[in-house]
Amino acid sequence: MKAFFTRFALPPEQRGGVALLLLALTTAAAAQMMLLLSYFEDPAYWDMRTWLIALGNNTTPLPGLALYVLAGTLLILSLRTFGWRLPALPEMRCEAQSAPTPRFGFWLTAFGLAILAANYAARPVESQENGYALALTWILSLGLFGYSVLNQSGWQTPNRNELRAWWKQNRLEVVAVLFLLALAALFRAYNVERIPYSMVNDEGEMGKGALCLLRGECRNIFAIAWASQPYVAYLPYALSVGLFGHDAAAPVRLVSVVTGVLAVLFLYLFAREAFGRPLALSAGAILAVLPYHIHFSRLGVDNIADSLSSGLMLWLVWRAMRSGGAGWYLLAGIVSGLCFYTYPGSRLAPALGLLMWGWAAVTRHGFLRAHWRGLALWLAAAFLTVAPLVGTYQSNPEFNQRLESVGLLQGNRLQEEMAYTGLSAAQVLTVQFFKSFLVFINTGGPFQFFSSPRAYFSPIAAVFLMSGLAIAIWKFHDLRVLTLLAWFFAPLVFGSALTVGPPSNQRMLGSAPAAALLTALGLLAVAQALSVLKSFLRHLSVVLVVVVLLLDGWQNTRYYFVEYQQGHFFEDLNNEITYESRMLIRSLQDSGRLFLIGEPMTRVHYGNFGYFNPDVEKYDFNPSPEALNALPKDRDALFLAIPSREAELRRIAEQIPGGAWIAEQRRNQPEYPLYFAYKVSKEQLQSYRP
Amino acid sequence: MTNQYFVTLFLLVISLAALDYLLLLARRNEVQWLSLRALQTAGQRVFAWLLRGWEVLRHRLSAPSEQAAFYYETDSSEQKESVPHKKTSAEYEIPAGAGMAHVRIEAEVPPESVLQITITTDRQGRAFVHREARRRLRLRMPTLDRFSLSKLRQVSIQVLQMPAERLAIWLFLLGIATYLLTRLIGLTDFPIYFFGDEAIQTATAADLVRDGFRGARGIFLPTYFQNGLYFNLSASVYLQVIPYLLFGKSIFVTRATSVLVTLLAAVPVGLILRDFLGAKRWWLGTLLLSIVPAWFLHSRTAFETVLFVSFYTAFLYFYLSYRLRNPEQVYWAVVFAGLAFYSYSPGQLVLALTGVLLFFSDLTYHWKQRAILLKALGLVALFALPYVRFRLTIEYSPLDHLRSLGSYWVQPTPLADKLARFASEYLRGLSPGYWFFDSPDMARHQMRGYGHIPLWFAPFLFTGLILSLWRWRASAFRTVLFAALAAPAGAALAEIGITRALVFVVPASLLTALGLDVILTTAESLSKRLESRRLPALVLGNLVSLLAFASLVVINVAMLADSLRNGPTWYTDYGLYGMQYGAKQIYQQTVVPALKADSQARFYITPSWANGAEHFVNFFVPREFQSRVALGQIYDFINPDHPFTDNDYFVATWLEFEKIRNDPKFTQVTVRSTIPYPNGETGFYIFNARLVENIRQVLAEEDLARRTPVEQTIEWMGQSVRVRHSQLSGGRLEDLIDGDPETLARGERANPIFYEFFFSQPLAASELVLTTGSMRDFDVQVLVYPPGETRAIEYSKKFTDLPDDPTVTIRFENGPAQFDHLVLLVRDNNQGAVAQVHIREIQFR
Repeated sequence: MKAFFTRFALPPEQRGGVALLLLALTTAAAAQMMLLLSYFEDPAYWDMRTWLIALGNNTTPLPGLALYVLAGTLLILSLRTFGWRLPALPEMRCEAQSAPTPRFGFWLTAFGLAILAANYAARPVESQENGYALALTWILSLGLFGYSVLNQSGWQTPNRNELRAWWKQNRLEVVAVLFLLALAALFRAYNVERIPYSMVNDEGEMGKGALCLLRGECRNIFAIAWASQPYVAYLPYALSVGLFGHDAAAPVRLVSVVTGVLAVLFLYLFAREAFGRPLALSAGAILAVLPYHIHFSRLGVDNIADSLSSGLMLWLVWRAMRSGGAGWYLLAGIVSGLCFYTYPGSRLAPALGLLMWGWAAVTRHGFLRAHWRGLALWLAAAFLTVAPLVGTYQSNPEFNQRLESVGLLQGNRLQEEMAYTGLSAAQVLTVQFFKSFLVFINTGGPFQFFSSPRAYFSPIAAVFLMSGLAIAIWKFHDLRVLTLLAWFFAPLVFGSALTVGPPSNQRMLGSAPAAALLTALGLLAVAQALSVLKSFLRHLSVVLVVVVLLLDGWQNTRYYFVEYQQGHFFEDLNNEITYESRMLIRSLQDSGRLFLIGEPMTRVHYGNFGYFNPDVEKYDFNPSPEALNALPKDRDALFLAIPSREAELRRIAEQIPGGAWIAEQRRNQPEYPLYFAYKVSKEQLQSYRP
Repeated sequence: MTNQYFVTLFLLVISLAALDYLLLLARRNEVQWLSLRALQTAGQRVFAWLLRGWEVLRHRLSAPSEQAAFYYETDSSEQKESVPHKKTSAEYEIPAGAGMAHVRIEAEVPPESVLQITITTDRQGRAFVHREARRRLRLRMPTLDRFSLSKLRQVSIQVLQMPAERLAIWLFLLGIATYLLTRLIGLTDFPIYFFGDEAIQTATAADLVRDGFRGARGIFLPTYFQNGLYFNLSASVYLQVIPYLLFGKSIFVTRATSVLVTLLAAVPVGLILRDFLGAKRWWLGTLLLSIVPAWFLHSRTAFETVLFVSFYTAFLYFYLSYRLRNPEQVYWAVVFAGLAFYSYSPGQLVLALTGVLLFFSDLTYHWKQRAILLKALGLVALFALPYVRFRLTIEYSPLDHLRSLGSYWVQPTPLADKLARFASEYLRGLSPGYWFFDSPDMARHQMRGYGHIPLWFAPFLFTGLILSLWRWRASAFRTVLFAALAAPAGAALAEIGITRALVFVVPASLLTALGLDVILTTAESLSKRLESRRLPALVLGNLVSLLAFASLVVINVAMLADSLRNGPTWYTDYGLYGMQYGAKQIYQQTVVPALKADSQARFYITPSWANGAEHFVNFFVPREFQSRVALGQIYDFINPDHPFTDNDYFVATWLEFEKIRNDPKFTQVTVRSTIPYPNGETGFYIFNARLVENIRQVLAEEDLARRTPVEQTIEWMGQSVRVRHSQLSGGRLEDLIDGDPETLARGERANPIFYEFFFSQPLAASELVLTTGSMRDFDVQVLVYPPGETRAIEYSKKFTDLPDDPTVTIRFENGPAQFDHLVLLVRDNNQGAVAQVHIREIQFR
């Protein structure tokens, strides 16, 4: 008996800590429960003026959040009791190096070429004429600059022996990471054609951009295309569509799949550098199975780039800060520039990198002196990369068009929101913030390309996310943690809280890797606290991590691949029509035209029509005897009607008899019609008399 | 890839890669950019290889008599030249048993000879001595002695051997002469227009003299003179007074006065390079400025901007004199700054910014010179007095001028937007794209294909820029950079345009000259290393200078020839929005001679082809004839009570004439003569015309027809919209809804102009956004009909003193949420019932 107590009982000095830890976790679980049970779907839930009055009836998030604050405090106290600390901060190079011996470099040439490209990009006609040459000039500029940097720094490719030694030293980790990436890829690529269902028209727009590039119609890759993004953003899509064709959604979606997997990889790499392997693996695993991230990794629009750019950026900057290597700064600069070519949310990534670098410079003696050259290199590379785009925006001022069209502080939107809700400006902003924040742990993410009834994180992960957040606020002065907080909150605030209609699912993806890292931080902190116990319980720490990760993975995958799909939350009739009608329309080829009776819901200029069938002539059509009579009759005609306009199509069938009537049901909800079509030959069309 | 792009790319890569190499050398030297030792070494190697190759080639090809000789055991100098080349060997056997042998060789070797001795031993221990001597070869370059024209030879030798400083002065003077000649030759033929803004200078000066030096409002020696609605003429008018008194009014005199003032830019540019920037070939500045296309063109006009640039350059020179030579020169700096201030309004900000930058840049020095500066402040106050008097007596503020320029600063937009726009415009004013490539400036301010600054300046300019940055601590270099930074500031207040940003050509020329000088000096010093004895360093340096000078003079002359020969047809839009061609041809060559010849003749001249056409009458037409000249189109003079006679001559553009010829109101339209455009097409018609008999009836019918609305159906906002509207005399209904405020629809003499919209489906909009043409005072009235209602909700708003082409918003604050019928009326309150009201854009939001 005594032996049993010796084995399981806690030493007296650790009992307080364990009690606090258990209390913290229990309180956090209660907080999460309280939030889950609150009536967040009730619009009155967001009337901030009633939050204090309605504390008791659970129609406000305050009780749950208050409990979370308490849980966080308890957790911090318990961790202090255990003497828990963040992993040691890796050393950074802070000693200044003597100026290197000058070597030949194409410095001015690279800048000159970039400015030339920028100059031409600013002129629409010339840039279209010299599109490919402009791209080559840009690449040449970057190539020459890269060569100059590497030549100056004396960079050499690692030899075989070094690679072999590295492999021997890291093979287990490599296998683990490959497994992690395979897991991430599996969750992202599995049946990507149908999940999520169906392909949305914005994906079609991306596909159209890709086709435009592939067909040589859009030669200037710096020109602004759909969604105010330059065609550079469409290059990966062009590659994919060029390889796999444009018969299906998958070619467009594959780009996001790869991007999503890379986001997991770079989250791992940054977390490994900054916090160590266990936390990196946990964070990677959490992100790999996060439904929110999985969803956008399967959607053929480039919002997912936000989650890649920030992780990649921070990793490169971290490497550069540690080693002072010119190559890392060069890559950081190029990536900073490329961030301006993709989804606008990625523009936060260079700011995050600069914040981390700046904080290190402020808090570390000698850092600035040791790294100013690196900073100059970083900025120069970023300038070279972004130069043609600057030129483009000079003649086409759409740089902030997205922000201006959705920003809360732009135009009169804040005033309108105040007038609509009756709240003050501060209250509106507070509500906007909570709507954006709570979607991670509690409320659903309606509309905005996700339409999820569940929060981004599973309840168990949410508990650890909040724990991680509490720890991060506690340790905010640490360079890594400050960066992590900024990484989490910057997209949340700028991408969602300060835009209309929060939570803006598609604009907060940059926060997802940071949230995963915070969750892992909370989880690992608890586990590490347990591991210092002088009892058998310490063996539970690893079990706890594995169990939580498995449980979270199971909850997430079950939610996304079963509940979310079965609930048809993402499905949209308009998107389905444009997607499912592709083969029918394609059958027309050059011998027929599409007349779409789809207004006001569906119109022919929607992306999917253009992506799947770019060469078929398409018209929005409102039937009337005059309109029918005015139809060109030299080709067959396919009349396609949305369900609500079936009657008009039937009248056409009566007036031009003999055609083929086609009725399609929705794929996942077959009880509802998808569309009706009526196909007539040109001879039948010619026989029509009004 | 277009050829233009390819050429640009190629030039850029070549020149920048070369600069990169120079940069590397500069970095390796670490101290002196100019010394370029490494480049000299590298260059020397290359030249040494070439020389060696040449030596060998020459050796092989040369005649035996020119070959060197071998001298052995001889001391006869006579023989040196005559003894042919020969080889000899000797064999010495080493005594048996001796391990070594001593070989003694005696030789007398003449100068510039090489003696090679080879000693070899074989296995048997025998030694062989092989000797070969030959005269050292040297280059026999063609010498000046061989020129047969002795005088030319003498002058050439004198020039080539002239001290570099003296030669530089000669080249500078010749450069000034070239500058003047390339301005004055064909001065009235290029630019091909003579602008109202040029004519007004002399015309106003003449009025000033006539009125006892009192301005239009009776003010003695007014500070500013009115140009249209705005007070923006000052020093430029006073400058024309003496030339007017001496030579009267003519295009040449007006422009030549301006050209002579531009010497204040051309001369100081050279002197700044010599006295303060330490350029060896300082005369380059003048010649380079001369061929900057933007300057070449504008320095041949009498625009005020040219005066500003000139005075500003003189100010820079005297400021640097004050700073680096003699503090007393500050008074001159103040004088020229004051003249620059009163020359050109947009230049005032440039001047102010330059002043602020220089003040802080040399603060320590200023403090040391505070006694002199205090006195200079008195001079500043003196120069400020006219401006103070103007501001106190005339209700006109700088904001009015900004409004006249359509500046965004007077637009109702947030300050952040204005600052962002300013930054954007400012950077555009510094962008290579604007200066080197096609700029969006109007054709009449460009020389086709030249760019505002020649592209080949770029590498030199860039080198000069790097050099100036390198020597940032030197006040002179800093001043040049500050001048470049300040240059676009004035233009950025409105929109970058070459006339407003012209002053940039001065620092650009300085930097280019600096860069070119560095490169030429480097090439010269590199050649010195090679040390050709027949081509001493001085001669080589002078030769380089002369070659550069000759090249620049050739470019100057070629540019002049090109502009005089091809300039008239570079751009073929000769109308209002193009070259505004015709002042000289209409007034000087046609109207005035006709008025002199026929005392009964009256001329009615269309003003539609030029801005400020009214100034031409004052400028060209002698006062005694002015009562017989009227400005306007024939329609403006139709009066049934006073029919036209054969003494009434009308001058109309070809487009107006086409309309007049087919107009039923006129009969007996007889063309008396035509004025062709430079491309040979007829530009203007001078004709007589008679009114038809029933002119009263025709006018009444026309008026009735004009007032009848027309109807049209358009596709707009996804629906078909029926629109009833006043008749249009220009533009189309679609221009109102195309989202492009550049396009417009102009009413056919209907004030208010009205548009009535009938929407096929109810429209949900809460405001109407309207962009009109420029009007000082106008009313907008909107009647909005809810669907199915016949009673409208009415909104009226009056707008005054808005900037040009204003955009106004009418909010439907009282509803309705939807409407299907809307009437819009816009009235110009400054015009009668037959005004042509312009509407640019209509949007519902």
